[in-house]
Amino acid sequence: MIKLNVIARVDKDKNSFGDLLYALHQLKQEQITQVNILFVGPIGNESLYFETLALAQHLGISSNISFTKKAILIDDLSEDIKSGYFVNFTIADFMGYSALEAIKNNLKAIFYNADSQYIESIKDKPINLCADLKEFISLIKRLISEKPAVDAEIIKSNERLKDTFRLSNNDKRTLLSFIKP
Amino acid sequence: MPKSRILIVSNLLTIGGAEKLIYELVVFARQNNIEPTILILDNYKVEYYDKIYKEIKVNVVRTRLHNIKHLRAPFKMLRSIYWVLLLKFFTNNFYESVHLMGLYNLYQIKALLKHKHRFFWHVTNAIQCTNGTYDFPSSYFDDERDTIVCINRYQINELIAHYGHALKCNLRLFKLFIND
Repeated sequence: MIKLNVIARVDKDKNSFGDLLYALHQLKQEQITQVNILFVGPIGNESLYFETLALAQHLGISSNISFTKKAILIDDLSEDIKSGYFVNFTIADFMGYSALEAIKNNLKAIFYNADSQYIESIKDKPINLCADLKEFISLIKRLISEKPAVDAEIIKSNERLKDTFRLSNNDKRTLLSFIKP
Repeated sequence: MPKSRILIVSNLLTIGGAEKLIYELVVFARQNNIEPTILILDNYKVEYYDKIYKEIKVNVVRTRLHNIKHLRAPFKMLRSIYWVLLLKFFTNNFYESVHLMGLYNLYQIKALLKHKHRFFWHVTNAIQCTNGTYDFPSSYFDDERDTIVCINRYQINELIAHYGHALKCNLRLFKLFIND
């Protein structure tokens, strides 16, 4: 079983959920049914939540998705959930704090570009940054067929990402100039 | 010599990216001997970061700046009046700079806040807006003394493409960060 966790508020500004449901549907079409998604986050927009449920039903994947309906700190997630993969929406290669939290906690983070206009600008990307749905589906298939090797590559790639959030001395000077101009 | 101070303005202290950025700004300010005050607008709930800020003794004020007539809660009304006056007339005396988190909050203070160093942190991308395009009024960007701080290079391209010559303010890029 491949367990995907999506840390995001269910709200209009984060609406790439449909893409993920479609990925589950595509996999199911290929007889791959052992992929589940858990959406970890509060319901910010009730109508989007119900639309997502309806879409899942229409695509025949209702039993593959679930929602916590509330924000949960990574520390408070069960070990079973933590053993899964953490899907983070990105803008091309830009990653937000939820990605950092997953990486910092040594979880297996994977990234999905939420804005198709930037597909071409994603270059030299690590294995776990998916520029589009096709790459996302392909990664999931590899997680099934060659899990140990792909897991190792994901962990290695995430280790490199940790440092990108740290402030260099130059960054610190710039930030200080914002705070105390 | 009195400690330097900054004011950070937002609408939420829940578990979230913008709220985490506020926290990291707070920690960075403290590391540099600058005292932050957090002003949360139109939201009187007790949220995730309230407890954390209480523990590290960061002043969090919750109030509203518009529709402040609230006779059944005179203390809340007085606090609103105090903050409206402070933002309008005295922030330069108290704060080195003012930081607003999220352009979606700018309507609250753009006209009201008089400060020579206003930093508006832009924490969303166009794809997160309705129809994938920004819907902020161009007046948000009309003051050349203001600085919009973008957290990724795509936002800068998106702002320039959408607002073009209407962008009079400074655009700066600063990555999301964590303190050591």
